[in-house]
Amino acid sequence: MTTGAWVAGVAMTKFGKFPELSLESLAVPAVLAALDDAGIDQRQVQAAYAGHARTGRLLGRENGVGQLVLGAAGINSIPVSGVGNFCASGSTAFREAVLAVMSGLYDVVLAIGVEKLSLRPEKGKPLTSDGMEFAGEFGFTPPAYFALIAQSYMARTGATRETFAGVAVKNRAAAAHNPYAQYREPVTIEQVLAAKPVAGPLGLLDCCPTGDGAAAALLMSEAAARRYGKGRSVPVLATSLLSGFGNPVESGSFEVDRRAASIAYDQAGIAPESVDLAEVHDAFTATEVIHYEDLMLCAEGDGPGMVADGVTALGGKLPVSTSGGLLSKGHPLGATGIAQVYEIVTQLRGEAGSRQVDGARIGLAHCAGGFIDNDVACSAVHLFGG
Amino acid sequence: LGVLVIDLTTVFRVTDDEQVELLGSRCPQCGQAAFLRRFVCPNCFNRDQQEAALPGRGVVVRTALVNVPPWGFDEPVTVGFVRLDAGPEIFTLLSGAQHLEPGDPVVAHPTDVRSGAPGFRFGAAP
Repeated sequence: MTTGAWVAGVAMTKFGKFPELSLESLAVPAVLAALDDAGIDQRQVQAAYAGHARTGRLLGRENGVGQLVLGAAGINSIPVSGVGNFCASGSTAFREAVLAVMSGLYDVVLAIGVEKLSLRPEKGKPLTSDGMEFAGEFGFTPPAYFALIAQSYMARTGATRETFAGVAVKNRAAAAHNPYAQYREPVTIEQVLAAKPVAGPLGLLDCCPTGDGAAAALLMSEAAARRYGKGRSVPVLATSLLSGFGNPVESGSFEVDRRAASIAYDQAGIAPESVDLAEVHDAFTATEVIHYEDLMLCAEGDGPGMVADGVTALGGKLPVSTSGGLLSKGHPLGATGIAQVYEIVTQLRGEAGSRQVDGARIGLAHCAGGFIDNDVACSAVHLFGG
Repeated sequence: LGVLVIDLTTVFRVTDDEQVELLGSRCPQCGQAAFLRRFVCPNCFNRDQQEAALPGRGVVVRTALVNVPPWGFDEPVTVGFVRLDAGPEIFTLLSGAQHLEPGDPVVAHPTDVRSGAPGFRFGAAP
């Protein structure tokens, strides 16, 4: 893929629990801040995609969240599409916006993501996923599923609970530098290991929180980016999205991620070694480590060493989850993928303040979502920079 | 909670001698079995899939104790994946799982599931 789409503006809200805020109240500030960041107003936006995953089940609004939010933000009379793709709804909305610009049909396209989970009725129980009612009859929860995969990974690589706890500690340490993160107080290995057990090797601090939040990104063609001031725009090098097909419980790895990442690296014409920082789908500590391998950020079996040696910590050779990740920044499903873009773009612009990765040129964002058969339902990989 | 009611009776049955059979499908062309039912064979893409009663027998792939189970369960449960002798791997409740290791043979037996509906779970093969 050529650099046909540029991120010209990006914004997110603080993630957390805001039961008093409506979807519009959550998302409009992100939309307006993204417009301001790109230096345009409502009239320049030609199309929009809105990612949201659980608004139907939880808020009675399965459709029309994009129109609702954009209307409240003063944007109407453009094509607006809702995008649902589980935890990767925001990533998929972003991808649709990228493709819309690359198609040549539009010069300025908005991707937004929003979710409100704080009022969900099953408090104290893990949030489950669309389509999992049948498995739920048999005790299925997302932490249970990923605990099974974590154990296969432990058997394959020698990873331990301490390995996973190191991810929780690392990501919380990064979140301390991110004012938008849901949880910013440092945690220790001992605290992670002593936390309430949830499923298999995963305790409460091995699992991302639920919460509310929104994010927005403005995609532009190169011509539009030049017109509105290209200086802070970041090129999208690759967009890759695949549906699930593998058997991660058997293998202790996500083959769908590996294939999606291969496609992305091929599109961008770069090797995995070129990646300077990554935001990955660290819904659970164990999965972040597995993602290192499947995104080819390290060799198979080297995931535990990446944590133990501090490679993926701030200041390490390849920082991962510099925002705090889903584990500490939070995981309002539809917003997550675009919040990952916010972090990568902010880093590549050199505007990440005390969590800035020095000299960052290439960033990767990875988000998976949902369940199909025995696999995750989807995997999205984007590459930025250059 | 606004939860959908799942009709489990469409996916399993109990034989007269108390054996659990899972109602999946089998490809008459290549023999690949599936659970839940498929309309196209995932192996050879044959569109003529036949309903098949798959014996509730298999081996443990992986188990996990779930201390925070989903709604409807008051106590921790053990779950896991079982590879049926017929081929498919399925997510299921397990009983007596503290004694189960990957590779151990297991059989399904009838029991209520979350909603109180008749269902099944797997335990150590006798």
